[in-house]
Amino acid sequence: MLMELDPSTRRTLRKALRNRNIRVGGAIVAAFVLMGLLAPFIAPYDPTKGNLRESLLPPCSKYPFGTDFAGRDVLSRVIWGARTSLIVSTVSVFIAVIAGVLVGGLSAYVGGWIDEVVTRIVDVMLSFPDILLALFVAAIVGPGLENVIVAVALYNFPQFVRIMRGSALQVKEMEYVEAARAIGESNASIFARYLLPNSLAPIVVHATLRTAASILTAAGLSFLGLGVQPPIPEWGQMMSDARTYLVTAPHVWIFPGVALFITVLGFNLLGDGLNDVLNPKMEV
Amino acid sequence: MLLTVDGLRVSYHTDEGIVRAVDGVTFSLDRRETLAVVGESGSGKSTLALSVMGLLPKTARVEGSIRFLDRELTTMREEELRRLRGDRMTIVFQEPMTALNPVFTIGRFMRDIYLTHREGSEEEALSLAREWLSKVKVPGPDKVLNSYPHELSGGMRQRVLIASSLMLEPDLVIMDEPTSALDVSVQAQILRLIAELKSQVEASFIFITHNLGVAAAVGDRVAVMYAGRMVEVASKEEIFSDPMHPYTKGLLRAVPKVSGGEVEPIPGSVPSLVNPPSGCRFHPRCPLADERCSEEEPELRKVRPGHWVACHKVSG
Amino acid sequence: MSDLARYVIRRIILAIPTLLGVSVIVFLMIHMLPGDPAQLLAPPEATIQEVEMIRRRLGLDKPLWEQYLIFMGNALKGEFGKSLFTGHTVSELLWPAYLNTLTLSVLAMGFGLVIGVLMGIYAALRPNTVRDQAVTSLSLFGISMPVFWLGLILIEIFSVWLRLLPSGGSGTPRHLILPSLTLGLVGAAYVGRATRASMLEVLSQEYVRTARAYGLPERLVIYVYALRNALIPVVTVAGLIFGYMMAGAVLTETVFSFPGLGRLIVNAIFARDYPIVQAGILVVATTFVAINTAVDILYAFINPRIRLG
Repeated sequence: MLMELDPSTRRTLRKALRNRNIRVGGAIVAAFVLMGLLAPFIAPYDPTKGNLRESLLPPCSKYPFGTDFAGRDVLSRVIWGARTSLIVSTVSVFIAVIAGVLVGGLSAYVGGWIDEVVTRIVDVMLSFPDILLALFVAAIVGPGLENVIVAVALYNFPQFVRIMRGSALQVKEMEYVEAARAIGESNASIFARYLLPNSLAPIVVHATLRTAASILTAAGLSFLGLGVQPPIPEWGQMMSDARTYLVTAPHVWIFPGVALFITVLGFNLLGDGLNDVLNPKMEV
Repeated sequence: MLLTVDGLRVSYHTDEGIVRAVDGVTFSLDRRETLAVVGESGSGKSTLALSVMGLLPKTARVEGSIRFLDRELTTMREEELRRLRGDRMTIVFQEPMTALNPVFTIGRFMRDIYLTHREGSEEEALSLAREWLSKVKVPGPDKVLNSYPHELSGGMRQRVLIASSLMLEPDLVIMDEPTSALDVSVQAQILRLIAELKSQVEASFIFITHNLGVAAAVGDRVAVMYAGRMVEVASKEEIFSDPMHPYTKGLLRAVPKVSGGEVEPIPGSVPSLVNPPSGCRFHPRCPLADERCSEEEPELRKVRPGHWVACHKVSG
Repeated sequence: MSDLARYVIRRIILAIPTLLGVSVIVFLMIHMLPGDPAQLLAPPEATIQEVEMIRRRLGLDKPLWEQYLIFMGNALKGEFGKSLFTGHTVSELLWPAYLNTLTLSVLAMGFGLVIGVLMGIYAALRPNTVRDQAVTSLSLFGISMPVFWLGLILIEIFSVWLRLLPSGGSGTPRHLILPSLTLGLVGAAYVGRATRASMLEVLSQEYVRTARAYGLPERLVIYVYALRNALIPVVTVAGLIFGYMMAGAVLTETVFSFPGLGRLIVNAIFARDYPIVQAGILVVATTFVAINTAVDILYAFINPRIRLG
């Protein structure tokens, strides 16, 4: 299959497979995705059912990560938590990418006052630093899985508008785009054939890095109690529960933290590696 | 002798193999003499300049000897070398646009050079800088001292760098293609300035260029480099009147003449420095080459006083 | 007027539409919530008459634009109405909490900058060696670290095991150490990455070679000639990081039960005490915009090239 690709794609692919960040990050991300997808099959116990008589057990042979205050298996909850993080982060980043690419690309392409307005709105949205925008949205829409997705998608949206707009502005000025316009190629076709492919590399890199940030933000919201609600297992929320037993049962907050940290690290490594290989001009 | 370079070899290990940027170069330079080094890019002329200055990257391997002011530079400690740099020997690079620190004024830069090498006050530093800026014909030296590099034109920046390189009255000034990045009209001005300054200072010059015409205009002697080696060294008169190496002849034919006539580029291209051709490195491009040229490497030998050539086809 | 003064003024004017946009969004919050704003702003036990009174008192019966002008007029005076439940005015609760968060962020920022810049230089001076890789990995760990988890770990180490520092609360400088360390470590990771990248870039520049070619001592070359250039992009990153710290304080303050703005906002969200939420978010966003404006101005001072633009 590798043979059917054109030489430059093949070269990029080979470079990607040799990149250590991509290999390590890719392996972690793959493990995370598999854990999320296969949670029902690999989790030893039901993550929502516990036995109060086995509350807060330290790690043992029966419960390798111990149990939480409700006697639920921490390992199973960590595994199921991957599923929650996977859903929240991928869906919200996906929504933000689609919306950001359309809005940013069109804004740059159309130009004029529309572009001016879009830029201003993005500036305003980016004035709410980091988790604050998600927190603001969560305060309006309330907690819950779907609402966290909305909040995190909105928090990512302006970033992708900005990136797409930046690279579309560059491509727009290229001679071949002007030539395409001169021979009467339709706007939709120019968008699909030139603007999108040329912006793909920075979008892919940024989507990977934003997935890392989104996992952290979603977990942060849940840690505050404004995100995914019990009984759905979620890493941030598990750590929030555990604060009460900080001293007596550190295993309850350590394991979900490790899972969260490694997952985010994986996406960051992958994003860094992709950035090295695709080497787009990154705009932060 | 001010400077004696003997059997200098500089190589780098890269992914492609060992690059021999300079491969056996020997020459010497008298006080107040100007040697023009000519070659295409990749001939090793800039590496030669950097190795004399001790500015090669740490990955470079240097063999042979460089004696300057009766001291061996190749084995000298970095700290001692640093004290020589900017004081006894200086270099002017090709690219004046990027050679000056964008966040500091010209005055700050020249002051730092002075205070690094001399005991003295800031006022003394600035007055010397002012004096040298006038000597290189910078209009309004006081204003220039307070200017940032981006506020000056390319020609003006190169004048600043020339002033900086002469300010402490060094024994050796290396100019590495000092005019190549400039506009043609500015090039001529700078060349004239350098010719003028040469008569005013005690320094010796190594002037590096890819243009044989420029070399003959500024040099007392001209050394022609090809693929890391010197192939011909002669006085500037003889290089023009009696070039001997086929490569030098080729270069001469490639110089545009005022009288018109055909410009003939040398066929072929500069060979790889990783796998240089066997024997004489020029033989694949040489019209005279025979079997011996592809097998045996010609030595640089004296054909008459002051004229050295490395070619099997030159008798004498 | 000098170019620089003109630039500073232009940059300040440029921030105004952004701030107006922020205030509109925050103002609209109460109208974006499901339900009747007057009902939302009334105490839960309020009667219908009381709700109507609140509606009239807050001008909620007036057109939207007029309501916004009233909101802005009050906000500019630093007045955000009364807390719905505590009986305090919003300002009474807001400013002490803001001061606490600001103290925390400034401490963390100072810590992050010092550690980050040193780390970045240390790595950039020997690229692709073991020590560079160690720094690079550490900073990647730092930016991947959930700040609340880091806080819990530091509590476990310094409060539970070593019993050196309080695990939460406020009042003494000792209470500031762990929260600012937590935030500062994450900040240091970002600053370290930015410094390393920018220092590597600068060290490959010709003017660094020129400085060496003139025999300037290595310390001058690195810590003055190169660093001064390398810090220019770091300043921008630092402005962004300060914003992240103010926002990240929401999580850190929760971990350490630290009475800052973040905790005030989160508690207000739970209590549906909307005037506090509005004021808190407005203040953080305004601070962020102000800091970025200040950073851009600082940028012009340390980067002479921008003043022409």
